[in-house]
Amino acid sequence: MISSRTEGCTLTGALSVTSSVQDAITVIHGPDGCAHHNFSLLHALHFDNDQLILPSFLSSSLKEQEIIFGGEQALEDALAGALAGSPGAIFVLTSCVAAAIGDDVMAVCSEISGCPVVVIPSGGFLGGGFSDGVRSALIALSDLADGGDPNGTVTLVGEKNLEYEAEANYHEVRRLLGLLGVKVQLRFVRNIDVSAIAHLGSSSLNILREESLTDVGDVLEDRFGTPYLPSFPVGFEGTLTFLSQVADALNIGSREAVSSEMARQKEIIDQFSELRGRAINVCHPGGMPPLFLNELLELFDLQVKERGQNLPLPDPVPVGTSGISRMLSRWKRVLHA
Amino acid sequence: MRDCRNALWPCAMTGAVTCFSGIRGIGTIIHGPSGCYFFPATVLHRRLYCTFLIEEDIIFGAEARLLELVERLQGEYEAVAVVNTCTPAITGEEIRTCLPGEILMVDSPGFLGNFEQGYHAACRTLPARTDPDAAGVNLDGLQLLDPFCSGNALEAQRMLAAAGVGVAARFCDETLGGIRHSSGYSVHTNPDLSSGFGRGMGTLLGIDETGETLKCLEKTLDGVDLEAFEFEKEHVGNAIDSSCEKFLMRHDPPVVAIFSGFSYADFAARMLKYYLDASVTILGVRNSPGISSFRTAEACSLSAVQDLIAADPPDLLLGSSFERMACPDAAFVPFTYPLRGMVRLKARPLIGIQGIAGLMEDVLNACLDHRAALNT
Repeated sequence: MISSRTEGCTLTGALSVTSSVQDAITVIHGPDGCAHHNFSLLHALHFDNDQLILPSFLSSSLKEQEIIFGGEQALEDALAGALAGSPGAIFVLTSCVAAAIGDDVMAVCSEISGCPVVVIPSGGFLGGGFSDGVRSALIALSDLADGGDPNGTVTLVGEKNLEYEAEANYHEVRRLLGLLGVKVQLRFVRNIDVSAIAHLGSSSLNILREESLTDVGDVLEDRFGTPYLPSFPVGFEGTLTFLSQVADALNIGSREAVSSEMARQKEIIDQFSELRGRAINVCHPGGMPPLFLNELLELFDLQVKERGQNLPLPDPVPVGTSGISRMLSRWKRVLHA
Repeated sequence: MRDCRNALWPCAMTGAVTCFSGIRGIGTIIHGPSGCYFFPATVLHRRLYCTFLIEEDIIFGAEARLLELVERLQGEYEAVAVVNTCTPAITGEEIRTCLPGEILMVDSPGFLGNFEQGYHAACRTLPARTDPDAAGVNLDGLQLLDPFCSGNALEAQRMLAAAGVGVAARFCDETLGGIRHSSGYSVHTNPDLSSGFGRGMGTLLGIDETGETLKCLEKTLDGVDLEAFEFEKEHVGNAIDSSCEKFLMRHDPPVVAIFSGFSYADFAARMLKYYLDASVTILGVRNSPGISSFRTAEACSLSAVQDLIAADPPDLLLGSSFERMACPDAAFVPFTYPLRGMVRLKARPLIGIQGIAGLMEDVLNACLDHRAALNT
């Protein structure tokens, strides 16, 4: 497995998922430093996202003694501490230290009764990178789900819990689904309780946050038979396509919804007419410019020039019509249009 | 039973990186994965380098990768420091012998200890030298993660200059050239973080302590004049007295819990007792507790903090944003890392005369705002 060297820790990716299950506790089998780094990061990002709660992590506090003699007893102690709080579930993540000393985490966790225990073999950087941690956690947590008959709702899979616009993106997708009369049954995983995960198998459609989660979509489709869309909507045209795809997957009509959204998009395009013909330069580090950018260049007849005004391109890319509208507002401010 | 719920203090690796990254002229390399790099890079706001290890490097060896980065930085920096992290330390890769030239090398994996232990280990490797021609004193105990770091440096320079004493090297917020020409004498801004360089002449933490330190310098160095200090001490002391007296005319003394490193916490407790007759319920310390006349306990996890607060609930809290969230009903004064959810741009000292003035100002305003909020 070759993972990006600069992507960040698997542990952080997995924690971004598990810490969003509010009545569960996450045990990090590793040194306190790993727990602190991640706790501090999530604490800061929660403030940014107006979430004034502290995530609940518990560390097995591996020290030099455990490095030499093994850390399984330390993990047992930490699990006992976690159980004492009567959590809805215990999620166990492994750090690179635990992976390097070769503790049998599965064996220790299999001894626990009275509470669901889900082992997420993250292994710090020895398990890949941040996105591997996210995928591993989502797949592992899906073990807590039951099957069920499709009920016409959708589940959002793998929302980016650490991104600043996470709630705004959710509201945009919910608004679009609302145009079709479709409800979100479950946010897998964002601000939910353990019991909510049981409903994972009964949605009629899963919508993945982004295409990098197709492994997760495939696992859920194999396990529950739920089809999936590969990402949240991107771009004006992409948003209309998204509406049609959701409607097709759920066997409902989309004409009114698409028509209504097209009208909204036309209003937005008119609202930003001052951008027309401006000379710009858009930075998109690390790869090809996204397709929605070409759409905007054409719509507003924007001239890409080396000496054009530098414009920010959000990463991750904006979601839905509202995301594009907010990005255009920022461009307008920069261009003083 | 081992129960470290939400660890609140950084590891030895971060401490070592904090020491090196405070010395301009040293290129600091974290020999480990990106997960270990991002945390210190985010909180220290200094240029750091990393070997960005992945699994293959652990299997096939990471020496070549480290060597390449070291050689590149040797062309850009006067010195290069390498801080080893957990997994390379466990696998036992012998990196010291493969590195060219004089490298500042610290084996400081996170599992070996806390921030202070890593910081001290890195300090021991610094190429500081005493310059007999260096005038003045060194400032010790400055570390970049401390919310009072830049304020303490400015206040120390101001007070020492007023007394006719120059500042030589600042440990550890200095140039490499600066620490190579350090003074034989040092004064402390935070005794918890003594670098060990220079003969200790006392601390600037507290007005009386600052006076004692200046007297000690007066006996040792030529041309030290305490007149400006004595004048300001009396003037600011009277202002603090009068503000506290006014507060106590209408309010009961605060019941306070203090969370920080030991020296800062003990200092704040003594000041709050002295000026406001505060009841100090606990000094919750992130590092090793020292000798104090107040009840002291380790507070390195959120569960420990919550237990200490629940055992004796305070109406005033000095600490980090962790404590602020753990006890939202108390008045809060930002006092230690991390301080999330608030904007802090200006340099705030804790040492010297302006430090105590700032501390008491923050405490009184927090208490007044809190009590006003309770009454509405």
